[in-house]
Amino acid sequence: MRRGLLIALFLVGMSKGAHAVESGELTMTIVSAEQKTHDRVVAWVNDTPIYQPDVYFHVAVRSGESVFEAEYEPVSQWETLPVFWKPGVEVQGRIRGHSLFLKRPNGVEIRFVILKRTAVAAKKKH
Amino acid sequence: MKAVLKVGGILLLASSLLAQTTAPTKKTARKAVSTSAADIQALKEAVAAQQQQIQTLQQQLQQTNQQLQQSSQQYQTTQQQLQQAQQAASDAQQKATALESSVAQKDSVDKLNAQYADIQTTLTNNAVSAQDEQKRMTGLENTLGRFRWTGDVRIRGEDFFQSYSGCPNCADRNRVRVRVRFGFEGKLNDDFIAGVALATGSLGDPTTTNETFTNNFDRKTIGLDKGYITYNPVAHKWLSLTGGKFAYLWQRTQITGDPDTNPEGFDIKLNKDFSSVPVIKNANIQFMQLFYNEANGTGGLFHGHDSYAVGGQIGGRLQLTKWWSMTPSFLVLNWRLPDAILNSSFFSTQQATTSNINILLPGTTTVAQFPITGEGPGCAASSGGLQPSQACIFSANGMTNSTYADSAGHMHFLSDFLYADVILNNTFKTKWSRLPINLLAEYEDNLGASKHPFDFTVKGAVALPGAAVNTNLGSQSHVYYADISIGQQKNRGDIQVGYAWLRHEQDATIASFNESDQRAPSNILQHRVYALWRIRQNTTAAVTWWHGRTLDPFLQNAALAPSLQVSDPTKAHYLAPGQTEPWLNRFQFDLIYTF
Repeated sequence: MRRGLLIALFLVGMSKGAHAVESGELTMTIVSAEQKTHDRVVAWVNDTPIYQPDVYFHVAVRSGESVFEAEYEPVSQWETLPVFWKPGVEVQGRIRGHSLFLKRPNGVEIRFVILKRTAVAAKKKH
Repeated sequence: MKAVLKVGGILLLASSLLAQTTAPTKKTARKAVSTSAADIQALKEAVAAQQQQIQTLQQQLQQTNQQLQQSSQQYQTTQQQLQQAQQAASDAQQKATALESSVAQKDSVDKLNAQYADIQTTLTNNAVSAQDEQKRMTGLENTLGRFRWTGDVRIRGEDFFQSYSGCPNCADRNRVRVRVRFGFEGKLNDDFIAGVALATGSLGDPTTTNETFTNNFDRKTIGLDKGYITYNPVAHKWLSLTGGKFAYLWQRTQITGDPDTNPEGFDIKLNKDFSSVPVIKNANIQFMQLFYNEANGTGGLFHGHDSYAVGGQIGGRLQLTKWWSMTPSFLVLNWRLPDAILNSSFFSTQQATTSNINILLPGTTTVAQFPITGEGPGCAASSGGLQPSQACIFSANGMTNSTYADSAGHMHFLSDFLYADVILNNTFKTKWSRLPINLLAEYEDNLGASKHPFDFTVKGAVALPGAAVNTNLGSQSHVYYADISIGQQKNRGDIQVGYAWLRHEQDATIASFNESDQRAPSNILQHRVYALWRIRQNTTAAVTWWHGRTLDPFLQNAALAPSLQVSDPTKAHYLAPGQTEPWLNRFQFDLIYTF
């Protein structure tokens, strides 16, 4: 009985936050858009790691009274962050669950994974 | 105008008529005076005839005048018409010229329009086609992008040098080896990642994926190196659950596991980053359960109990100063029923002949042997101290832990194995960003180690192992390790040069899984000097010099140079107390291509 209750609580906890929040297409404002890298170990020479820098895009966009910070790992090395995405530029986007879809200038959507949501008022305090 | 011309014409005709009638009258009078009546009559007739002719001529003249007038009128009319026609023609020509010009322009414009339309259509088609292509490519990329290909190829030249005065068989050893690993990670949704990898290497040796260039160009063995699933939900990025055969997911060094070994089991990691906390940038805790022997039924050596390691690690990342960051960790790992390693099957040892401790010749401690097929390191053997029944222990690089055989002939470790391992991995930034200083310090203690090592002079089965130890020596449970280097291996042109020092006591860890390139798995003193150069972004050249020897050659199962022995001072190549084993120098030259 107790184990079942624990499992149920665990599952409820796991499902919390997994609820999908869906929005229609919105006009969002770029707060920041950067191309970054993080190092991944691809091999070891004894205890010395050999790294491979993996590129990813980090964006912060404002939609209404919220700022979303999200990341995206490009699928190929030729995929680049749109040069037009500068702070203040408006883009079309939508939100579904933990995904932020932003339209590139050519109309193709990029799906970012949302890392953080902040209210604009809270953001200004920082 | 016409009226004036008519009046002019009439006056002209009238005047000419008057002139003609006057002159003949004068001539007739002069003749009548001189001629007869007949002549007169003839003259009269002639005059009448002339008059008639004159009248006729007048009529003709009138007609001619009329015709002339008509012609004049017609001429004028024609002239006017001509002028009008000329004007009209001129106008028409002008119009025609203008028209021609406008038509030409129109044609040009039309052509341009047509070309423009064509171009527009072409561009539109191209754009649509490009968009379709882009969509297809994006779809393809998205599909392929869900898989990340991983792997490497390493070519290694390797030389061994170890000798001493009078050594009968201390020949240098040279070999070339290849290692190939290939796999992919698939991210079919946000929450799950699955990975598969194949690797070369003997199936019976988990500590290496090398294949030596030998055996008459035979094909090299490839086996499943990894196969795992990781659950790392987007909604709970702090949680990561992994199951399968996977690379180490916790911080470790060669002390507790060879880099080529991929453990099997489960790992749970709870991870939290801190961006606004001053020093602590990350904290994590993880638990692992690793299965290394499954027992079938309720019988056998362990009465049906499985062998596995279970433990946990707590770690994090500290930013102590602007230039000093540290990754500390503390691991506890308990190995349950490790004696299964000493009683492994032929399959796991991949030997070429049988010599299993479960098949002893009746009434002796001699192991029965018969040939079997199999590629692999075969049974671990040592030149000194091994009991006869230990000829087939699973330990590719040699079994150097304390072991004993019970009265039934079954092998046991003298020590239990409960690792307590502290690692402090430091990075110090310098003013040259590509030349950080890296300092790794590690201390490991086997909390389950025997208080004293086994007495290596004891042979045969032991009923009470505690009574067969050397009480003059303390627990052989510690490892001290330090590795300092400058540089990094991240980008093309990076170099890294370093030195590592290791003191690894006999029963600090299980010998079967340790680093396979060092002098021996345990009971060693080891130095290592190394240098790496990132020739290209995906290619690294490395050279490593291993300089090591056995720490205490008078411990049971100590690895010794060829023909050396410590048990009988009357025989040749005796290593007397106080003497040490000669250094083994091992050089490795690597070219590594990663992708």
